[in-house]
Amino acid sequence: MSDTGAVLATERLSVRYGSRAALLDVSLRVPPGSVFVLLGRNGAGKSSLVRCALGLQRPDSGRAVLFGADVWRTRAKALARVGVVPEEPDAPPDMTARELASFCRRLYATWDDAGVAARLRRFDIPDDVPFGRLSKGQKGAVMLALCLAPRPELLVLDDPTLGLDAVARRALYDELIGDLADRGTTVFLTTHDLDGVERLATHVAILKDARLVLDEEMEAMKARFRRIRCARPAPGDRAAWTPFVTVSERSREWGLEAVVSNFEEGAFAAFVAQAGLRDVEVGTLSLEEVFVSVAGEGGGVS
Amino acid sequence: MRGALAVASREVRERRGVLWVAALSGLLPLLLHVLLPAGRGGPDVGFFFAVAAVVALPIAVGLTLGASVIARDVAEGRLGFYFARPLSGRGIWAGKMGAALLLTLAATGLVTAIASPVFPTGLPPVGPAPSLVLLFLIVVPLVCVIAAHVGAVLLRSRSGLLPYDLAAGVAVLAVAAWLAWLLLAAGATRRTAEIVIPPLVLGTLAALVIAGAAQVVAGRGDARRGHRALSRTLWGSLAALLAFLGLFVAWVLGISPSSPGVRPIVESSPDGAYVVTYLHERAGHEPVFLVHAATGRFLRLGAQQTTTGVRFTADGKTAVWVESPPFGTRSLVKARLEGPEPVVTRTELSEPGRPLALSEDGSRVLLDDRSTLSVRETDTARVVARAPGSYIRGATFLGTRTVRVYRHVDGITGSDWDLQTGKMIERVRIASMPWVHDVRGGRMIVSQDRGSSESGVTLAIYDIETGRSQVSFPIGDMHVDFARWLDDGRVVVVSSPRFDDDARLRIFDASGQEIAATPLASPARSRSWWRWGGQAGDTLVLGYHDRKREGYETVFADARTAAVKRREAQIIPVFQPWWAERGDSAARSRRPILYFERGRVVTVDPATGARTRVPWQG
Repeated sequence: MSDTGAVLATERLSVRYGSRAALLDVSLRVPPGSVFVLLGRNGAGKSSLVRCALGLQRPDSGRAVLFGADVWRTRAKALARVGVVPEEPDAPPDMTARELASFCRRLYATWDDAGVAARLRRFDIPDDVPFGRLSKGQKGAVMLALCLAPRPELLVLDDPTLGLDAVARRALYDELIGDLADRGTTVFLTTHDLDGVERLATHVAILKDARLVLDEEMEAMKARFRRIRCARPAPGDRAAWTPFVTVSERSREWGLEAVVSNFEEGAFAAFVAQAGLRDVEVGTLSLEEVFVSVAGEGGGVS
Repeated sequence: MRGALAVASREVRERRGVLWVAALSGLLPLLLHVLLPAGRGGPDVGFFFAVAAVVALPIAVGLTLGASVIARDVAEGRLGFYFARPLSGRGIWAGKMGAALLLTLAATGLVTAIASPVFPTGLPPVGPAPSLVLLFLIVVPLVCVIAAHVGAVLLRSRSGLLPYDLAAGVAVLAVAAWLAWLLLAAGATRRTAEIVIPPLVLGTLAALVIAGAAQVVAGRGDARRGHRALSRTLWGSLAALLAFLGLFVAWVLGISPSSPGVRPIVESSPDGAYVVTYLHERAGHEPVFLVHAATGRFLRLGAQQTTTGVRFTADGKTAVWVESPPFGTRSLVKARLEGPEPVVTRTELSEPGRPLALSEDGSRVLLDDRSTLSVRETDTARVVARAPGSYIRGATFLGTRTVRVYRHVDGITGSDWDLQTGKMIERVRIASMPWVHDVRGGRMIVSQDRGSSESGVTLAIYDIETGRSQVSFPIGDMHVDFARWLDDGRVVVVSSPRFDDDARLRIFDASGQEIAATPLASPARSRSWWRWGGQAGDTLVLGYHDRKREGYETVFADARTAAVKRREAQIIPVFQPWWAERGDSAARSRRPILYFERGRVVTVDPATGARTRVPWQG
């Protein structure tokens, strides 16, 4: 582990594809035992970051550090402690789940045969069907079973629920929760399934236009992001949200709505009294709402 | 290693079907051989199918496995599966390629073993030697795997670099062909092939292997980056290989008389003003230079294989030769040698030919193409006369209208060819085994027979005009290095009892009586070859070289007593062919004698041994 204590970290990571930047100066830390969710719209650079974090892709500048070492140099050694579920299940299509498990068993120092068998049974994966002929959900389940079998210290899941139905998604999260409860594994996860991960995540980061625009603990984030609604001020008056920083502002039929990113109870009471606002409501935001506010059109965090 | 083995065993398991294909391919000819009756050509049919299977299957398996073992993973984006596990890039590459190579060799061995009873010798008669069979059965499939792997990855990675790869491939082939053309044009073919092709093939294979590995190791799961790594490594390696080849070609073609370590054979023009140097080969390239002896300025004539028969006129003012470049126009070349810069004119020559003789005024040349003799004008290459002729030993112009032609069939005949009438009239006939040692003033010295242990070789002096033997004298020795006339009509001979014995310097008078002799001990480690240098006043100059032309010595002897006056190590007189020494008798002793010394040409004061270097220049 590095001196910062992070299982996984990126330091000013930049990746370009020709003239297009996929990642620009991205620095983040994944603390041990955390469930770190990386969010971003399509093309925001999540998969590039995952590839760099796993040493599959060399960044144009900066570096990714896994267990305290530059992963580009120490990938094979570091990955002995990492379980990976890729965005697209990429196992050889002619191998059955049993053959895949047999192949992977030879690559790791520890391997939980019984755990793999149990998970495959739970997921109802046939033993003798080649991987290429499994459904998308079954493929994801096989990859998850393989990924958990060596009892990794870090799980890296790149959009593992992509294309899965609700049942498969739930099964996947249940499996993850079980593993987390058993061993306290660190998880680094990218996903578009915000509802699904909200109950798991301890840390959240958001990529927007190749830059990291948010990176903090889930609770802290939910505490400072609030939606404020109030009746429309009298003609001539204008709602001034100072001292709050607004992520988004909207005018509704019934009044005004703003999402602020630095909500604080004491400051809010003083603000309401001073601004003379009427019918003020303060609400919490779901992870999805925060994400939409931050990563959506016009959204941003200052 | 553990990872590579895991990957390899997985690949072998996945592709083990090729072994069944190989077994069936070997079994089919065996069954045909056994089941079809001999009367219906069973053995022949079986043999045909066996050869086809043994030749085609290893190539097909090699190409198939090479093109699929990694390229398919690249094309389908599946390399990430391996890279997301604790497997090194080298291990992934080695495991997959190792499996492909192993399966290919196993399939080759299987089809060969099963089909071998069909072959009478038990082994496929692919080549004339077992080593060639092994070479084919091992090397060719492996080359197929490696080449197909790289080619398939280039094609299947769907990268925008492919057009650049094609352009680079064309450029590499073009440069390689150009360099090969330069070597071929220089006549450096066989030796160059021996020297260049093995490292070139091995280098190309190494470049393919390294590039294939780089694609996996550096590209990891990223097909485009892998392609870039492959292209950079492949074309970079091949460019480096071509650069080395280019340096090699430049080194081969850059050889000159001034190059260190060259061991030229040198012939002098009659007046000694020019010398022709035939350099010993550098990777098969044996260039010829025309060198102005006084200044050392030289003209590169081409390779010995493509530049034939430099002939000088008696006054040394004109030289003629034929250039036959393998990819260019054959030319009759005439050089005026009035000063240090030869004035060269080339005339296209429609037929091949080797200059045998040049007329005194340099206006006509006799060309021999082994079956036809032709006399041409040297300025225009126009044919003056043509006649059938073979086994031609030598020729000389008698004026400009008649050519004396010596043929060598059951002895030697000398015939006069009238260029106007075309008639050829035999003038001289010498039986047995003649060897012409010297021709001068209408006479020639020949060794008349192979000699006997009692009398040794017999030397004879013939009148060229009449063909009559004037003098004949056995010299008692079996081997004659040379026999030459001195200015006063005496004959100087170096001979030895047998080929490997020490030689003797001997002087005979005009009647064939030996008047002086002295032993010539040669300290060379091996047999020495003696060479006539010439006569400098009352001193005879002769030298020898050893078999490897590495040891030289020149002996200065008294022209009356044959006693050795001094010996000079590491120099040897420039060769004077007898056909370049016509003219009056006094001309010989006035002509300067040139010596070859460690790659340089020098003049030597016979009295003091003081040497003056002739400066070679480009």
